[in-house]
Order: sequence, then C-alpha cells, then structure tokens
Amino acid sequence: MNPILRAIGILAFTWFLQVMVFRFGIFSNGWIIICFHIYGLILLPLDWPKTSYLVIGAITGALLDIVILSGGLHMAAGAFVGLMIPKWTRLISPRDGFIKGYSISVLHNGWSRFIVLSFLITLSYMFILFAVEGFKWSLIPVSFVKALLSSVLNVVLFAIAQGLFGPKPKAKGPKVSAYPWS
Amino acid sequence: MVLFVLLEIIALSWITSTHAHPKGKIASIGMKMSSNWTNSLGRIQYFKDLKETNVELLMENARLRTENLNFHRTNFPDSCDEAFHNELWNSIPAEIIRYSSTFKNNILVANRGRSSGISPGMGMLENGKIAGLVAEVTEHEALVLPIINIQTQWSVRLGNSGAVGRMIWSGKGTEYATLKDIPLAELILPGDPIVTTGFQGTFPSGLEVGKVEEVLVTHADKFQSVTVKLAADFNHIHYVEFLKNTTSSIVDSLITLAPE
Repeated sequence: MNPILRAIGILAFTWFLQVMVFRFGIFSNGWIIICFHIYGLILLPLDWPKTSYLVIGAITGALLDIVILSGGLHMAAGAFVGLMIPKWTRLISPRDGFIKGYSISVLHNGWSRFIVLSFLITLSYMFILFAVEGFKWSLIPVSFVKALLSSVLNVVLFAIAQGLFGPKPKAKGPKVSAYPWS
Repeated sequence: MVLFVLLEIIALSWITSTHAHPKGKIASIGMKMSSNWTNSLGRIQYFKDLKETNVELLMENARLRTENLNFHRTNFPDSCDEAFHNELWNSIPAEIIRYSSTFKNNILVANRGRSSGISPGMGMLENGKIAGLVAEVTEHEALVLPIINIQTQWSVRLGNSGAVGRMIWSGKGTEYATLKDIPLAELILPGDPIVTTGFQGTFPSGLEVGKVEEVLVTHADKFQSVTVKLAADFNHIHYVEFLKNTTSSIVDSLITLAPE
C-alpha cells in the first residue's frame, strides 16, 4: 500500500475514533484527557517536508475543533505539533537515520524510540492545548502537569495500539513447505 | 515559520471568538499595544513640538528679562538717578541663521529685520549678556557685528563704579577680548566683573560683559590692559534678543542741542 495513503488513512481513522469514542475520555476533572488522533500524527512518515506536518497538524486540529466545538484549541495545538514533529524526529533519529518512506514503529525502531517520540509529540500537543485553554501565565505550570499526566495515559494507549495493530515481523521460513507431510 | 505563525494566529482568533476569557485577554493586549503605539506617536509629536516650545519659552524669557531690566531701571532710590534712569527698554527675540567665528571680521545674521522693529545701532544679547551690535537691516534679516569682530569697540566699566575703558577683540579665540585704557592707579583683580557703561545708548548700563581674566601692566605707558573672559558664549549662540531703547529719540534730540 502507498505509504502516503496509508498514513492519511490511519490519521483519518484515529481522528474518527477520537470524535466518536475518545472525546469522552476525560478524567480527574479534566486533568487527564485522551487525544487519540495524535497517534495518527505520530505515524506520519518521517521524511515528509516540514510544511506538510504543519498543514496536516493544523487541519486535523481544525476539523476536530469544528466537530467537537472546541473553537481552535486543537488547531493551535496541531499546528504547534506540526512544527515540532521534524525537530523531535531529528532529536531521536538513529545514527543512520530512519527508513525512507516509513513511519515510526516498534518493529523497525524499537520500543524506546517509539515511546520517546510518542511522548514528546503528545506532550507538545497537550501542553499547548492546556496552555491555550488556560490562557494565563499563572496557569502554565498547571498546564504542564496536566499535559504530563495526559501524555502518560495517551502514550500507554498508543503503545497498546502499536502492540496490537502495529507492523508484525514476517513469519520466518518459506510459506510453502518442502515437506508437506511434516 | 511564517506558515506556523499564520496558522497560530488563525487558531487564536478562532479561540478568542469562542472563549470569553481569552477574548478579554486578547482585547486587553490589543488595548495595551494600541496605548503603547499612541504613546510613541505622542512622544514623536512631543519632540516635534519641542523646538516650537523652546522658541516660545525664549521669547517669554526675553519679555521677562526686559520687564526685569525695566523694573530695575525704574527703582533707583535716588530721585536724580530715577530721573536719569527712566529710560525703558524693549527686547525682540530672534534666531541666529548665519554665523562666522573663524575670521577677524566675524558677523552674525539674525532672522528678524525692519519688519520686526529692528534698526541699525540696536544692541544684541545672548542669554542676557552683551553679544553684538546691529549694523544693517533688511525687511526680515539683521546683520550683527559681534564682540568678536576686530572692527568693533565697546564702552565698558570695571564693576559698577570702576574705571571706564575700551574693549576690543584681539582676534584670538571667541572667549576673550581686551580691555584697554584703564589707568594704572585702578586696582584690578582677576574675577572682577566687567559691565556695560550705557554711554553708547546701545545697552543699558550694568549689563554683564564678562570677567577679568588677567591684568597686563606695561610700565611704558600710564595704562594697563585687561584680558576679559566674555560672558556671551559665541560657540553655542542660537537664540538672541535685540534691545530697543524707547527713549533714545529724546536723548538724541538733546545731543543735537549741544553747542558745537
């Protein structure tokens, strides 16, 4: 499957899940929330032009704002994450770089890289979301704590999703046995 | 980065249109920015107006100086002195528009002329100190011979009751002039004031000219010379006042009556 179409498909699906299911995932009086569509942003291919992340992030957020009536909060956060994705990716990239055309996955990049990248992207998104929502300098520390807690929950969810639906190693050995009777 | 800023602006605009608190916050930021901008503009306007205000203040200063001068002239306790000193002076403020200080025959040109009531023979003050004499006038300009012109001579006095002498400029520096014809018997000390005599009719008597800097005694003649540190600052001369004696025509008519 075309990696671009695949990435856009995953993003659309996660966005849909967010709208239909996870929008109700609000815990501890709003200190912890679920933003599952971030998983779609994390799984975007790693070698796209920087501007594309910015546009995709902003559009995803804006569409979410339209549907769940959050009035621009997710657009602001999405645009910020779009700006940060290339930076975080460069920060955690292995010495020989990521595989061209592929998105991050546990199979190719290991759990640690996947979790660190997921955490950084989610934290960026959540922090801007809560900071803009508070819209006060005095609420910045609170916003950061909220973002931290929400990021932990979301990363756990992303890890479960990755474990369940992420790329799997191909089965070893030929599919057609030379010894069908064995 | 530009795109990011643009997207954030769109998002924040959206937020402010839907969230009550941020709307107020943005509005207050906007008001603050607007207020700062207005203040900056006001400051620019203030500096623009400063020159005009300065001229107005100088004019007012000139008017007050004249009033002060006339007040002193008319408050002599002695009735004879009062009669003698009842001459009145008017001052006309002006700005120096041409100036030379590097030649022997230095000149000044002021931006007021005949139309402002200036006529040849009027004295000119710089910050209340004597500075020059009007030589020629046009409709809107006046040519002034300053103290620092070797062709001019000034009648001055040592202190309020000292000897009278002739002050000339030697052509060396704009800060000093030389006072001549002071009798040897006169005790002069550095720092003594030099004031106008009022004999020329150009200035009232007692106006500050400068201070004694150095006394030069040559025993070949019976006079001593004095180096005078001029009170007028010719290096920073800009706004001046012209003095007009309103009673000079009466005095002149008396002089014409004098026997040959």
